[in-house]
Amino acid sequence: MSAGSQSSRSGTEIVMPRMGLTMEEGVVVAWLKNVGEPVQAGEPLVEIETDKATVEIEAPATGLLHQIVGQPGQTFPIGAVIGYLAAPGETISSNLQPAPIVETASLAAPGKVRASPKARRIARQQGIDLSQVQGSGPDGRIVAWNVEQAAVRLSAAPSLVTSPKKASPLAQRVAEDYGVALEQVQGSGPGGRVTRKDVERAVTAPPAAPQAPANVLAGFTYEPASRVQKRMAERMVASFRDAPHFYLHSEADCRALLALRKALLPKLEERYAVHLTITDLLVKFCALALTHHPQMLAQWSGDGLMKASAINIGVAADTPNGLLVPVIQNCDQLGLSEIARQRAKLIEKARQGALALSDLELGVFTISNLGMYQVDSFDAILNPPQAALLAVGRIKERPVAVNGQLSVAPTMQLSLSVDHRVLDGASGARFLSELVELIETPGLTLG
Amino acid sequence: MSTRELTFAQAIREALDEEMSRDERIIVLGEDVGAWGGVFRTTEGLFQKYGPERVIDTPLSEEGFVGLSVGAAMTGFHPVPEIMFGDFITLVMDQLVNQAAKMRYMTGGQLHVPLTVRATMGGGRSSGAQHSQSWHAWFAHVPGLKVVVPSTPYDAKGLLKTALREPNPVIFFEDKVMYAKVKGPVPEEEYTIPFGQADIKRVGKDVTLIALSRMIHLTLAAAEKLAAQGIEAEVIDPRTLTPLDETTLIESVKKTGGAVIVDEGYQSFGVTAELAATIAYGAFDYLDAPVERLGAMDVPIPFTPVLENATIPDENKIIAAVQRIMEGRRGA
Amino acid sequence: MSSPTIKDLPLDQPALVELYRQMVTIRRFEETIFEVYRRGWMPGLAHLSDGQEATPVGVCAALRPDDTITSTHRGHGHIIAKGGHIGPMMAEVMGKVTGYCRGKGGEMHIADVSLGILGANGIVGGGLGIAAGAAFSFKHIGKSQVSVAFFGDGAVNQGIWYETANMAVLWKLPLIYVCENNQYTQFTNWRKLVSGDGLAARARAMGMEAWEVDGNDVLAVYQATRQAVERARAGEGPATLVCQTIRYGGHHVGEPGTAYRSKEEMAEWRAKDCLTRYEHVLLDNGVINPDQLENLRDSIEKQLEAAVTAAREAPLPDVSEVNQHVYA
Repeated sequence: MSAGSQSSRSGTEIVMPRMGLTMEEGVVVAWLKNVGEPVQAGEPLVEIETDKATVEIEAPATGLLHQIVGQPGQTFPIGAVIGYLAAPGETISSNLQPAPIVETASLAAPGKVRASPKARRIARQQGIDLSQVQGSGPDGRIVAWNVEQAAVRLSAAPSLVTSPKKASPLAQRVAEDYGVALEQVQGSGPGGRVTRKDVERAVTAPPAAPQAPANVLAGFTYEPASRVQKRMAERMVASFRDAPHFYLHSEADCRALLALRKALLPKLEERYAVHLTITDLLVKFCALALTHHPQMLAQWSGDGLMKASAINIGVAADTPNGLLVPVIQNCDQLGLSEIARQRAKLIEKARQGALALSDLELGVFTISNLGMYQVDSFDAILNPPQAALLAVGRIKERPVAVNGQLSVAPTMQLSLSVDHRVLDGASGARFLSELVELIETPGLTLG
Repeated sequence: MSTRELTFAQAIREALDEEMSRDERIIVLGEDVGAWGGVFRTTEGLFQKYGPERVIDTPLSEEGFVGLSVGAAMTGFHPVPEIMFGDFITLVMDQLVNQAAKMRYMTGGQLHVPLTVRATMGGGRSSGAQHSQSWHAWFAHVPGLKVVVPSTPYDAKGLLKTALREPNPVIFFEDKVMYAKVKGPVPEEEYTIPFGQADIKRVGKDVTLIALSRMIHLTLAAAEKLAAQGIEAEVIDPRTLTPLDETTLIESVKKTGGAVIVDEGYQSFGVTAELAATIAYGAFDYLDAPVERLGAMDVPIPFTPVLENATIPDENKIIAAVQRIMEGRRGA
Repeated sequence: MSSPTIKDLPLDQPALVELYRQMVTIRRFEETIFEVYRRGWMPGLAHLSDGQEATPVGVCAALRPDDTITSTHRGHGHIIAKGGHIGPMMAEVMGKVTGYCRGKGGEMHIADVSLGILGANGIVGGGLGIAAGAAFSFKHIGKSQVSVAFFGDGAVNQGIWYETANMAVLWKLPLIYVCENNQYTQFTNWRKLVSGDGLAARARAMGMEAWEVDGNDVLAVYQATRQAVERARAGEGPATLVCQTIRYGGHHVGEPGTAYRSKEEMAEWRAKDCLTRYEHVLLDNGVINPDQLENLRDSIEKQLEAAVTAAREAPLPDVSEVNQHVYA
């Protein structure tokens, strides 16, 4: 293949040729001739690497290799001049500067990323790199919603400077979050760029070399913690240390709740093939209560409050890797059946250890339900940086007083953990009161 | 303002009656439209009221009486020939395509052809391959004709009245099943519906469903089922193919990001293809999923119900198409 | 039917001369179009009717201005005989905006609604439905007008003829079918294509009056048409005239018509040329003298020259009008 261009007073240009439909740039690998050496038209002259292959480029004309502009290892866009040939005896003035590509986090080439036109438009308008966005559409297509979420995340991360290390801002932030050194991450994106997926892989991989402590006491064995576990430990410490916790307790009469669940359970099974749980109902009630008490969604952030608007509720789940909190997005916009469906899917993934990092993000409130165990109530540690968490115990028949008479009814004990930097007792109490009202009179959810 | 419920056939009959009173140039021709009152009762009573000079029982000569209608339209009448089964419209293609559609243009504007051809469409009655087809797409492909496809009694009456006042050839398609089976409110007061104005029959935000004729009713039913799943569909009825209200369709898809087009004509090279292209062009940067098309299967329409039903779009197919569009678009 | 003599017919001297003037105009118009085509002054093709002049002239002489005709792809004769002006006709043939149809119809689709010409038609039999419709209108809301449908031997086998004839007889429409049998359906002799005893027999079988006429005898055509028109105006229904004639040219310009017709056959027809015959009738009966004939022909030549010049100088339509006149 030849890559010549029209000859001017400056001799015959050798340009980076376009060798494939989606090719945008190529890397100079090696020159096969030295400067001053004669070259025949059609003779292999320089090796070029694309993201698909290495190819030999032929000389576009006969002459001498006059100047090498593109040094081995440099990347050039197609059409850029990488060298010059001179006719024998010709003198050329070449004061053209080489123009290799500066690595920037540019928008992904259209041919490489699958995204809907709407997603592309939003990405264009918001300056978002599509190669860094994960798609939830069919076959991983990026849809508008994915880009909108990415925009939300990125706007929350102030450092959007282009990285000289060939990693997107998103990948950088995720790496920071999990204490991963970018230099140690193998990039799989175009030009060796580190993508968020690459970072995820590095994060979930088992640690390379377990470093056992020097002395292991008799009767103990040492097991190194995974990155995720270590990170979790660090965050729990930070949460308990930094956020002054207080707890509000309440006991809710569950007769109406149980009757409702009993009535809905077979219908939802029949219509939507979902199994309704108490947790699902609690998610629905919390979502409604949170819309009325948005202050519960604020988060302490240095010297200000970060206020969330999307009501994404996490449901604490037991996994082979310990406690994780997968998140159901936009609970206030979902019907009960849809909440149940998503909750079931996430819990199943959790059980199988198959949760993705994207399942765990963007939560603003957490529900932890130990009611399937013999636990009446518990006070839980906040899930940082959230300011509130609901812990519920089992529904059990307990003695209750009704109009001065002793009676028995099924009740549930709720504990609301609150970050006192963000909320005071009254705010938390207002929220908890409404929640209990909803549990005791579910019909109130109709508005 | 008072309203009563009329069937689709009654609404059409009423439009004919009112316009025939208003304009003595309007005459009705067709097979058994007169003394019998029309195979589908759409011309019932008109013969008795207006007489054999204005409601004419023709011999079984579709090309002949439609050709005669073209000539009569050019010389003072507004004829309304009826094609009993839309499938028979193949017999009158020259009169409509080469004569009626082109007379004005070929004569440099000297002539006009005020002609309203009423034809039926739609399967679902085990009528077989030659009595169940929907040919509205063919005529939308002919410059010089206008094509109207109403879905409700209200739309049918208003659009037919407009057609009967239109100085150009109009092909007016009526679904056979809807004649007796679809009832709807029709005001007693005088009204007409202009051509080129689509009707948003249900407002929504998650996906745009576009349908014609009987398919509108299936689509609305599917939309209700989708609502229970938390998907709010917007349902639009173009009502006329020529002229077409592109703006309403495109603006809706810009809002929702996805579209399904449902039509009883054959899937390939028909209405669904044209509207999909219109949307892909006009709402390109707003599409969040490929445009879905649901036409009748590309096979001759079978006789036995289990096979016939498999070829016609239905609620389940509409719902499945919407689910494909919605996949992954918000929340896993 | 035998040839009538002049005394039998209610035509005065001007009317008789007018028949001749029209036939010569048609003959020379067609020959001029042939030149126009050969010189490349017109787009497309032309379908010429020189040799057939007597039929349209004889028929139209029996019509009123408010009667209507529909014409065929070979329709210049019909249009001139019904009163069409050669100026706008020539301009239409050349595709100019001053043509009858602003260049949008072309030589096969010329129309002048004000003269009762409901269009020439490029579909064989395409005018039959329209003519039946006009007859229908005249029966119901007209002032005893009649509708004439010109067509050729080819249309004799089109279904639309039978469908409209059936309705015309049933409903007694004032419709007159005039078949110009110029012996050839494009390149094939009609005898190979028409079964039974031909169109007149078929028309009678459908309950219609039908006459076979010498299409090259303008007075015979006129007389037969008069009879048909009187019956139709009196409400007695449709009739069919089958006029035997010949076209001298091929199916269209550029096609000489010699591959399927023998020299002998053509010589026989030339011997019966309608113009020559009628000239003799006029001269023998003292209706006109040779000098007057000469002057008449000269003035026709001048008119044609002027028409050609005017048409050549006339502008083409502006492209912006391409999508006008689609809808009213």
